[in-house]
Amino acid sequence: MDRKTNNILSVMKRNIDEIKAMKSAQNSGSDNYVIYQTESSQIAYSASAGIVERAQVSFTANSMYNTFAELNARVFTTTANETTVFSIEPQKKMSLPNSLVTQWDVRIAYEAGSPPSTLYVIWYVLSLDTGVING
Amino acid sequence: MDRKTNNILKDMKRNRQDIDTIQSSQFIGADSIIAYKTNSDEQFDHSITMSSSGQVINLLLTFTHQTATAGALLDLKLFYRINNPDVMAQPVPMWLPSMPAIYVRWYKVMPIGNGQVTQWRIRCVKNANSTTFTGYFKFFIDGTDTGQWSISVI
Repeated sequence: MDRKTNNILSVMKRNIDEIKAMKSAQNSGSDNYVIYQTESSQIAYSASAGIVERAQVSFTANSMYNTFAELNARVFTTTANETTVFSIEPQKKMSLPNSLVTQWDVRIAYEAGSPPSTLYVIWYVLSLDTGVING
Repeated sequence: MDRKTNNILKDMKRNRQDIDTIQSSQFIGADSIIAYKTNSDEQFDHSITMSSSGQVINLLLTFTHQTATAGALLDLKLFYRINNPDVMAQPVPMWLPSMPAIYVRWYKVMPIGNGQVTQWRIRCVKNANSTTFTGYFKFFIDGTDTGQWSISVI
């Protein structure tokens, strides 16, 4: 093979490698990004009058620094009874630059009668990376 | 043209198509991600009427993505106004010290089971009197996809 062809092939190989790397972060064939949903185990919180004033939750991304992360939850009044009658107010905390960790202070309020003294929560994080949730 | 050159050209054409696909959603050479803002030009997008003391109406806002089939990162901004359809002229502020005539809270429904939609549950609670009020809502959805929404009472 002559040198010109060799050079063409080298450039093409580099292009292909770069494209593969970019496609791995984006759904190929559609103009969108791969979104990951991470789920925590069910965690019990003491609730005064059905309110958890401050649950502290963190998400440690697998590899992406400063990644976007959104926190949501499912709430239960017992380990088995899920409720949809609640409000959730996550407040994201300022994080250190170049950090894998995102943190929130979260207020959860049960909004029906007979408020339980404990609320059980499964946390969800939607992000551009997978990771681990602690709460 | 010989076969080797033909193959090279075919590969280069495929690369070009891939690059065009990727560039359509991400600016190459700039560090930004394409994001979309979805909202209507209407004064309000939905209304409810409440009259009983302590009445509760739960709404489900379903946003069907235009493109994403495996989830999208979306943020809902919801504004509402009472007894006036021109919501954005004076929406109810979220920091009111006392409960307004209609009190609204919302959260995203989790987990995401169907990657083609994102849903929010909107909870509207009437205050403790029997005067009839109409709540008017405006929705603004920002995120990595655009789409269409629908509202149902649950």
